[in-house]
Amino acid sequence: MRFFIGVKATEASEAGEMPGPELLRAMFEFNQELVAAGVMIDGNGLQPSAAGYKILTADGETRIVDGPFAETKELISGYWVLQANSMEEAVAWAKRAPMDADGRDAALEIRQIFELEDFPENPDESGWREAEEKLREEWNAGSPSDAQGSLQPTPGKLVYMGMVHATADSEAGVMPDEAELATMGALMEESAAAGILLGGEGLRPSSEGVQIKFHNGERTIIDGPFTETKELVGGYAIMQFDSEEQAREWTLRFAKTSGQECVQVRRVFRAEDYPQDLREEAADVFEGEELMRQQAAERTK
Amino acid sequence: MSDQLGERVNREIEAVWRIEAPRLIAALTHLTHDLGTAEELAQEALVAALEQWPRDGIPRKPGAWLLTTARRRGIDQLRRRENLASKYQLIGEVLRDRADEQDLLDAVDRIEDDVLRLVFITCHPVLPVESRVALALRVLGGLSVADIASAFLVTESAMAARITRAKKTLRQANVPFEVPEGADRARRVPDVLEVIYLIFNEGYSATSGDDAMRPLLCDEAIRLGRVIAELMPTESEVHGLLALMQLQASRANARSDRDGRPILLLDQDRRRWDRTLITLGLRSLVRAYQASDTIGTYILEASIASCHARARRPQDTDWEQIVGYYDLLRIAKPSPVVELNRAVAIGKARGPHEGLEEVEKLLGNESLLNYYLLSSARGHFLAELGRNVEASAEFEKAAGLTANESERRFLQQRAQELTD
Repeated sequence: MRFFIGVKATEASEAGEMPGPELLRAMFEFNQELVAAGVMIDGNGLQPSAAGYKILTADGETRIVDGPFAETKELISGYWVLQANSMEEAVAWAKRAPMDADGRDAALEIRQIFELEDFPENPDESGWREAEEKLREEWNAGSPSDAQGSLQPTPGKLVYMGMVHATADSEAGVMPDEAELATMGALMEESAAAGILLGGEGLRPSSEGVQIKFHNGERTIIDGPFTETKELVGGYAIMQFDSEEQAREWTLRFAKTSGQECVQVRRVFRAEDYPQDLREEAADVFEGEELMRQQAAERTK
Repeated sequence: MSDQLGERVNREIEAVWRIEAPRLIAALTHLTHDLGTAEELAQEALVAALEQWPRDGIPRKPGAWLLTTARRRGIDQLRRRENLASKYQLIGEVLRDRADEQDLLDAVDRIEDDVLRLVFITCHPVLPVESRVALALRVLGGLSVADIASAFLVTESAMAARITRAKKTLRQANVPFEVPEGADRARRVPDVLEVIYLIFNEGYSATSGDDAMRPLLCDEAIRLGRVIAELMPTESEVHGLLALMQLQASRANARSDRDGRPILLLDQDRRRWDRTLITLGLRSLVRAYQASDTIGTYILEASIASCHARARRPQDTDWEQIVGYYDLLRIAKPSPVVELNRAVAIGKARGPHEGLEEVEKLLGNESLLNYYLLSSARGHFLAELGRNVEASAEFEKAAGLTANESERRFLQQRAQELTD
């Protein structure tokens, strides 16, 4: 089983305030613990929504609205994807996150990720194969030729997180129908083959989810469902692009194909996005991965 | 406290236990020099947690709490058994001498080394292979005996006995708690990988056991693979095995239809392949090639799997590259099945003539004599060459050789089609 842990945005994160070296270091150690335990699938910080945009579709019209977005509390500023055997295990890990290492309040939301076996099968006789082939032909005309398959972010590429928001249906646990699945499946496959898609999942309804509030060193658990449906994450994809223009082109195509009313697109933080002085102050963290590797190499010499 | 709330806390404690178990047992084995004693003390700490945490809440540092409690239990046990064998006294002295806070911190600092020692001791060749698997799931995976028992379709008491026997064997054989070095290490790493891959295969393709446990075993094997890859990052085959498991698991939901009939790789709906596992698998494979110049069989098998994972459609598969990997694999791990797979890949890459030629070279091979896939592959290439009567006969023959009912039906159907 996989779980998505979203970090709730704060005024500070939205203002582009960087975490201090202490928090950064605590976070680095926590991440190392997740890696050592073999439970870490993915994890990233997101740049403030000012660096992102939304694609809104209404009455067949699609338009792009640039960030920042006002509803800070409902945005996320980072995420982890963990492998765990139960919701309790995912929560036990999340409770260890040093969210409040700098003394500030914080909140996490933990949601289980849909397993593929949860989705209905899509019999070929329904004709979706042909529809899919047609889609492919259209895309192939304008898509990049770099068909290397998905790998970790290629150096120099811009990494984005695309999110679709929960809907009344997804919150009620209604599964997408076969047509929607086929279209989305084709889209995912296409973007994976183009070396764009690094991973993506759908989230189970928030009624099965949990929030953790961090306040004064205490952790408080709140069971779902959570009410602000419109801003809940319903699913996400991690993608890499050569440029912001390419990101917009692909995400727009995604929004149109998927028929989603709102797709939120956010930039993922990478080491080089942190300011130089912070990188120097917390050099051990930024060099940490290399250091860890050396230590590990020594241990196993 | 209501029962419902109590049950929730118990589930939370179980979750914390799973997170802490390997490090706790590793630290205790370091202190007591005996895996069996360490595991018993860890169990006692768990029992104490189940008593106290529902009342007092889960401590902020549950790992340190469990370790402290386990050590106190060890000392108590010693006092109760003062007149028992000197072994216990020795353990007690170790526990008592080191029972200060600083040592606790030290124990946490060197914990990664201890976990690696724990990996090697649970996979020690002095144990029969099924005991290694059980012990690894118990102490490295933190799984309950009941879960392990149902995964392997044995009773809980039989599984408990197997684990107890394994711990006793380690004690009697005086197996040291250490990371092997030099030539010894080169021999022992494959033992560790074998255990992990057995766990994976039990979940992925086993013919026995509880179906509900399958995903758990696959997940657990992959998780242990990641743990070991971090502990031994310079061992290229560890990354190779991890890549192989993730790439195989990525196809788990596409490899059978809704009635449970197997779907061949090339007929699978690739949209049902798990993108995240493919990404992680390919990433592990890159790390494998970067880790060292040594290319082992897991890396080769993972490389073959990666050719399929990277192909958007079956016709996009780079068969020539797959043939190249099989050319290496037949040297590294010669087997008739590898020969047959290579022959099939040659047919896919270069055409049915070449494929048939390669397949027919294997006809005299003793161990493939009654292997249905040989006949089926031969039938496939004959059919592609339009030699329908011979092809049909081969499919008939294959149908007679397979034990699997749905495969038999499929093969008979193909034989029938070719004579119509």
